[in-house]
Amino acid sequence: MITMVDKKNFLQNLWKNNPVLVQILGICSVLAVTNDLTNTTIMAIGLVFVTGLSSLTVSLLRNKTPRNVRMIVQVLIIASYVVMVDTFLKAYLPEISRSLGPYVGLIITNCIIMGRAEAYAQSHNPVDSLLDGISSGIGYGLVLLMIAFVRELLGFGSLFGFRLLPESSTSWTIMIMPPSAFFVMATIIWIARTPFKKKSEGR
Amino acid sequence: MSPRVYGIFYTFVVSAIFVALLAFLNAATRNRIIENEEIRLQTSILLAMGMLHPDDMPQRDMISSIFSESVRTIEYSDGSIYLKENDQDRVIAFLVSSPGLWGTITAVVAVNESYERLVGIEFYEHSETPGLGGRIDGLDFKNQFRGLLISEDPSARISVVRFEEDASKERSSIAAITGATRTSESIQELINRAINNILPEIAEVLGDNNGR
Repeated sequence: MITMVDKKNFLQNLWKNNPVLVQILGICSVLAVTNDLTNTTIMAIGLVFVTGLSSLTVSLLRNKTPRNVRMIVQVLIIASYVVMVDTFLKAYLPEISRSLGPYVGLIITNCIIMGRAEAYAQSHNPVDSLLDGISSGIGYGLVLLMIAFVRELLGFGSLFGFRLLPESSTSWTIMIMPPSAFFVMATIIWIARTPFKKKSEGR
Repeated sequence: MSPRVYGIFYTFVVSAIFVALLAFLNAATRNRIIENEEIRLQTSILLAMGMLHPDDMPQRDMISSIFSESVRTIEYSDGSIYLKENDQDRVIAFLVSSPGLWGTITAVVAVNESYERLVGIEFYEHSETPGLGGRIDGLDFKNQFRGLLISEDPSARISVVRFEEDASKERSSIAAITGATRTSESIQELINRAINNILPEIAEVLGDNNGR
């Protein structure tokens, strides 16, 4: 059963304890795949799938896995799910697979997944771990989508490939290039964390 | 069982299970992935030959049948030649690769029967900057190659000019992509390579004398 505590954990992963905004994890892919909302959405769905299922599997095996090989086993589980996502995209969404390039494979190295496996799934029951994985993935996806929204709109003048800004508007080329992800992410982190900071100073 | 042996045994069993799972998935999707690649190449060839239009793309399954009905493939030592032949004309297409800004650009280049004009170009693979050099995928850019006269000058089979109004198909010139000078230069190099290095070989294979 899902307890109140875990509902709180689920919501915290989305915002207050967001893996990207607060824990600053998974930055590499945040910077790499956020200039186009379509790619970003697929990437986020892929990550939700991988974090959810790998946390579930790690949790299912937690009592059987010897401590000294647990990290090898975690990486094996994560890598297997990532390869599944990659193979699925190659077979059924080849266009998107090509534009995401190596970044799907690099989900393996995304610290969020390993982080959740170690910090949560290793010591919680399977259902809670699954939810924790999913919510961390969604938390990551939300930040990705926010960044991609700004970058695609200003860089290409479109959202999900649909032109929204008039043709006469100048596209900000910098928004398409990787550096802009730093600016946009930093701005989002700043805006998102200001309220937390005030609260902690108030104490 | 000692903990150390158990650890090794456990890792081995878990690995075997996951590897088996992936092997199964691979076997289930392999044919489709190969087919996807084939269709992508066929689509590029048909687009370069002007037989498909990006705004009016047929279903995935239709592309293979259009391709096999209308295009003949001739394999030779250095690659493949794709021929579209009918009573009036013949279009010759082939793949050519050349360095781009970030990585290799591979394109399908199609030329007409007399080897004098380009029929079209389609970029098959490239890693140019999205939104800058990546705009070589745009129709505006690619349409400049339709019917473009190939220059006699081997060092510049096509020339790249700065402004759109200076570009002329009869003078073998195309307008560069603003903000992507290096990519535009790479495209010139790619066409030079296609016409100077690959086309003569193809002409020889086809038994034509007019390959330059």
